[in-house]
Amino acid sequence: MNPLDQLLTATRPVPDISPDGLRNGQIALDAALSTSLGAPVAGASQTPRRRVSGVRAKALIGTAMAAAGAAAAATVITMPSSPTDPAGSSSEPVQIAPTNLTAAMVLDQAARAAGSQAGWPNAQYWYSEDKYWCGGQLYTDKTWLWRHGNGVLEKTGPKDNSESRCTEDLVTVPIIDSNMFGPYTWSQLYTLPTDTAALKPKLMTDFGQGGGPTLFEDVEFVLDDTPAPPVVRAALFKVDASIPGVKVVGYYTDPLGRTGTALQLGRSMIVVDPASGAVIDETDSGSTVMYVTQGPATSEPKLSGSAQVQPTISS
Amino acid sequence: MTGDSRSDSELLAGLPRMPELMGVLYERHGRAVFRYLARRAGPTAAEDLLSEVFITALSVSARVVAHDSGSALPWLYGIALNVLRAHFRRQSQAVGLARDLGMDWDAVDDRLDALAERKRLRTALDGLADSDRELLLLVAWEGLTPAEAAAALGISQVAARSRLHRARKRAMKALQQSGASPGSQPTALVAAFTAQEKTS
Repeated sequence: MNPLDQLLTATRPVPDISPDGLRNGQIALDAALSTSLGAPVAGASQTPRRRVSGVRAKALIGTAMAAAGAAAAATVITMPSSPTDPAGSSSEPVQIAPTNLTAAMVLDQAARAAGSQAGWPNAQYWYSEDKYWCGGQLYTDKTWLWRHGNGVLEKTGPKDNSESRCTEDLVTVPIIDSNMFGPYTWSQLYTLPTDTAALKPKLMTDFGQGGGPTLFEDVEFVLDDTPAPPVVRAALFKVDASIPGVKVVGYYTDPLGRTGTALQLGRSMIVVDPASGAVIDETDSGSTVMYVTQGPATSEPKLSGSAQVQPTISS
Repeated sequence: MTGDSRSDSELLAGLPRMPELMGVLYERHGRAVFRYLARRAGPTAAEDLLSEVFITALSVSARVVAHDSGSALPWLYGIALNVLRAHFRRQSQAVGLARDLGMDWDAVDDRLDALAERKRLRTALDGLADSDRELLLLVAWEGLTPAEAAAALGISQVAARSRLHRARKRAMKALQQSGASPGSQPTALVAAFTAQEKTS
């Protein structure tokens, strides 16, 4: 364990809350509930605070039983198609793939499509656009990263008057950092091995992680969040193909109407478009990001006068 | 653990119509939210603030959806962070001193025996932006995945991953520059932690 993790681990344990403290909190919450409901609230600790009507109770029981039945009947696919359809069930975005289709076949095809070009070793900026759900609404991040560090992040999406944190940084802000590509600089990405056998241990060393699911996640990071050249991307797909346990979930159509093949290992799921050699969606522990665009750029946008300086990090 | 078998997602979905379901969430997650608060503000303040988190959650529950992992905790931690900042802001106005709006360092120091270790932890975390530090601690202290921490902070998963990586790197660099050699073993610290883990 490194010194940082030792310090964080040592300061993690705290005493449990006292029974009185827990009870006092419950009393205060009950009082607030009583006010909001307009009626006294029972203080029972194992049941909801208010009697549930028969219709509601049946609806809830039905929902719970349906969910339990679905979980028992089939593997649950959690790629969301929209914020109100978290299981993606209504539009059936996932289609069953042929049983003889393996993850290695999909990844090998993606590797071929990724190409063998040298890439953009001299570009000035790396531009990416991705979309994600927050608080049930769709937000877009556009990022311009300068090759020597720093950049600009533009977050757009619906504003509302709630206290949702999703809208808190809904501005165009500078990114001040010199380490934007994980363990690599822009130039170092262009010196990565293009041979799978050499690239795999290099990634494990540079990220300080093991193989398996963590390597799967690290590969996705380099594929989705860096200007790694096509020839390295091809090798990255092959590294993924060499990781045991990656399985085909099915063919997937994302909320933007794009199609690909969903692959899963552990808590991570990616949707690969084998025809273009791109990862178009990624889900980690159920939270999905849709990668819309990425590529070289010649400039970054100017910050508006009202832009706030993001309180990060001085080099 | 409560006797209610409904998932967090079902409870959150029902909250706008049945605010009383917040009581079930309190029974299920009150202790975890207390620990979140106690790690940053100390146990005494945490007991005072715990109900405020859930009462605030009641007022903003109209549009809440559970994180896709199914847990309500990322949402509750996001609210707890706002409650903590307001608490520290009130304190700082009361005493007329500027203070860290995300952390009571004295409360953190109480969990480290050696003065030198306290200094090292502060060195590691002080140089981080508030949002990056909180991201790091949500993962290290609360055990959230980066995706869940992203939801708690209202940032994208991609941004969280990138920020987490650089926060760790920056904190490690600060530790090394403060004189700690990488891989050094503060054996007293490890022993203290091991003993705490065994008794908890």
